Amino acid sequence: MKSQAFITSGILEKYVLGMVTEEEAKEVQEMVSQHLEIKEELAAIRQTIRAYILNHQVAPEGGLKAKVMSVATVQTAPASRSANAPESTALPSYRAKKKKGESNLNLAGILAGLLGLALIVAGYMAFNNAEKAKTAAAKLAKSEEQVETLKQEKTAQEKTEQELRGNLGFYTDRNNKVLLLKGTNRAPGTTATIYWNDVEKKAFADATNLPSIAKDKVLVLWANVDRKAQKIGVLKNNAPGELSPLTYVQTSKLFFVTEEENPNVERPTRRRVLMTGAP
Amino acid sequence: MQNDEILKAIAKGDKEALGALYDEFAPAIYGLALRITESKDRANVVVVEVFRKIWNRASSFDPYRINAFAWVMDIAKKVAIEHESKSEQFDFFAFQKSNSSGYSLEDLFRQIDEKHRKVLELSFFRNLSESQVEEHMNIPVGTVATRLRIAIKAMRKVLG
Repeated sequence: MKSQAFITSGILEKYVLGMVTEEEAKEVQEMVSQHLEIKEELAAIRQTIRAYILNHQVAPEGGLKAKVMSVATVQTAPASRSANAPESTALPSYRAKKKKGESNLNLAGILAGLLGLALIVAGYMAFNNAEKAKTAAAKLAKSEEQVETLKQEKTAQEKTEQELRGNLGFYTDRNNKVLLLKGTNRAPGTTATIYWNDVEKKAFADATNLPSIAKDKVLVLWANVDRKAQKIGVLKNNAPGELSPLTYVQTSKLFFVTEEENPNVERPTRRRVLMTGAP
Repeated sequence: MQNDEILKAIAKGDKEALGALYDEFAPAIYGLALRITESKDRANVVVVEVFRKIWNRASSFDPYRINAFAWVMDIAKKVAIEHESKSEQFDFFAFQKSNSSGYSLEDLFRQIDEKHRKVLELSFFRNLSESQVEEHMNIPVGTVATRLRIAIKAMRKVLG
């Protein structure tokens, strides 16, 4: 009960948003360590705030990344700095040491100034070249990525073409036999076509109008062979021109489709017969 | 690479890791900065400044104390508040709508009661204290916590 009251007080929300005093923060941390439900509630609030931020996200302008990356280019790498060194806030400056009693305009000063200028120019040129190289590398990587995508698309198209040509050959084969499966009164108006070829000993299904079933169910096609149901395939709605291969059976007096929970089922659930067809 | 590992790599001076962190977090930081500063130019400055701080401070990140997202966003929020705008002219929702792939926050937040949403926005985006929120909204003492809780609860429901 105590934890529930703590949760509903709103202090966890204030804690996540940084609106609590140090004392309150300690109290929250203590309660979190003692009560699992508070810990879970805190995590859920954090998750919500995270989602809140992510829902506000906007893609920055393209050039911004280069500016951000230049931070790493112009500033000293953190690992190479002392842990206690103050945080760098600007571009490194080149300062000539000022000796006591010396004029600011002496020769050493001028030379140091010139050297500093040369270093700045050299640094700028190096930075500029590095940026150009980085841009070129990024462009190259993007081009390579595009080439790879096009290659994959081409392979997929060739495969589809090959399949369609194979299917076309099957459609025009004179040895094909065709059977229309029709929906029972459990699935009226549904249809599927079965093709089988005794010469090539192949069978296919062309289904575009199957009964509607739950997502976790499957439609299994059976052939009645010697008075026994033999599973010859699982039906799914095909794309236009697509055929689903089936297990070939030489003779069958009846084909039927049942709704099953598992595609690996060995016997049909006869009370769930949704389609039938006979040669 | 996980975000914790990315930050560790940045602490070692790995520039590629900084790029990876940018890809991961820049839209969230920019969106947050835009919401707080109400200016594209200032939001750009904030993003660069945030990553500069991350580059310099990554070694202080402690994954056992805070997660990477919260750590980065904490920096982002503080930097953005330094560049905060007091203008009332900027329409974040319209801007986001024209710059995103069709997702509309307006639709989402319309489902949350204005008086509750306002408390959340003032405390989160304006970084106002509890008493400042009370004063700004002219609401009784102690109301902020309740309204915050209701707003976040409603968000949890809306965000699923």
